[in-house]
Amino acid sequence: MKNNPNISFLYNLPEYKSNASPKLLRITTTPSYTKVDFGYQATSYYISGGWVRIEKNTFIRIVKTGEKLIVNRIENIPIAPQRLDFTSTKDWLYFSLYFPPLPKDIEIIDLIEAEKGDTKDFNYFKIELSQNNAIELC
Amino acid sequence: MSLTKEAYIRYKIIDACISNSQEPYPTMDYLIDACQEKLGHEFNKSTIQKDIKAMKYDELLGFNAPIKFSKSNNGYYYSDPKYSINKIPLNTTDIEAINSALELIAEFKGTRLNENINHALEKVLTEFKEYVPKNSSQGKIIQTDAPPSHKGFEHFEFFYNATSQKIPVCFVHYSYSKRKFNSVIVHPYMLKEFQNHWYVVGYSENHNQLRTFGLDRIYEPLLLKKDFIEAPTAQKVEYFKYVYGVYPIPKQKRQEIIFMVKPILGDYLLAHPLHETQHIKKKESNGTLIISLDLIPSKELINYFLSNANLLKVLEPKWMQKEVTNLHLSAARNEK
Repeated sequence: MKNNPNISFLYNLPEYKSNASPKLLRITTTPSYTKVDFGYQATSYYISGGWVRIEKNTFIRIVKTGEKLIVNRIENIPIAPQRLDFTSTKDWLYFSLYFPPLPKDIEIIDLIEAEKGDTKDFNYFKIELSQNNAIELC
Repeated sequence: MSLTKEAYIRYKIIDACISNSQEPYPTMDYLIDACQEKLGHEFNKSTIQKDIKAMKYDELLGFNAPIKFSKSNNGYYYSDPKYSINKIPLNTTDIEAINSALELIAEFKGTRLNENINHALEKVLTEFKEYVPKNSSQGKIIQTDAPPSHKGFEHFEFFYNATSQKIPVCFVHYSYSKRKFNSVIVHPYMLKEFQNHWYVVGYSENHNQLRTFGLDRIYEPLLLKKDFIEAPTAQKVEYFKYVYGVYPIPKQKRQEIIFMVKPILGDYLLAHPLHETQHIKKKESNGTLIISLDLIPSKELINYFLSNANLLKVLEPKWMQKEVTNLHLSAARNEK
């Protein structure tokens, strides 16, 4: 993560790969929050596409220190135990999670919905927020 | 930004929050946060309270928004769930204001400005007449082709500004054909309308080429502070001028496309050419026309050929003739 805490940065992550179903698209870091954007494509594994929801205690873990930042705002996806039932295998959902601002000099984070979870949980490991990937926002 | 314009943007943000069925009953804090996030500076509670009051009661605005506060859900809602300020038609004051503006614009007749805006002006005038028939007892006397709602059109101003100021953007895009999300960085060159749908055309860093993105498939565009990449002018001209529609077929170059049409379709094409490169190569004694186009083949052109398959036949290039035939056969199989 870039050092200047007063500037907002975008980390575009088109190549990031994970076993979790929603695609981790991009992360925005600002002085007041950290925003993570996801895209979910319903799957033909389930009849009518299955369902989605997010745990209210989903958190970012700073790999270097182990510090946890709990999600404080959830946009466009129900919070468990509520859930969104898709109506077809072709449905899709764009959603975002907001966390507290990241401390400076952070290079790698995990994003965890469930500790010791399985592939159905939205867990993402070793997300790199290196200076090379950071783009300053206007 | 003028205060009035910003107030209007706040009304739209508040309306979007209250209308959002995914997150019903937004609280006052939620509305404040939403306005702050979109407009980039702080608002206090009284500003948003005044906005809500104006949306409910301000006669000049004319929204008459049925905003209620739910104590049990601790948030705001519309008592009419179908209500949105986007559905408010023009009122008499709006129409008078537009009329004055149109009269003012008409003063520029014959100038370059007029040439450039003539097409847009025609549309506005037509829509204006649509709203105000001369004899009000007659009801609507003009009907234009307009979709009932325009998903993604809320991004129009954002992309207009980014394009005119040459600012790269990042947005999340969902491809209807690939059923995939992607976060892309684009250097926008043009906004293009085709059959009532709006698209942004620009250089995509992800694809390393010029690409077209439908505004309806775009989520949360952001402005980026990085150098703007210009494509070679010749490349842009080819892409913008010599394509029917918006999605050129990858790896295809500009080429002559020849097709034969029956007289009934030929008459339409003589009155409404498909493209400025349309040329009548031959007219048979039975009225059949041989027509050529000089274009980069596009998905929309193939769709046009398919939709008129009983009235035309593609002659050249052969690959396109085969493509249209195969798609037609595939459609016939789907009917069985």
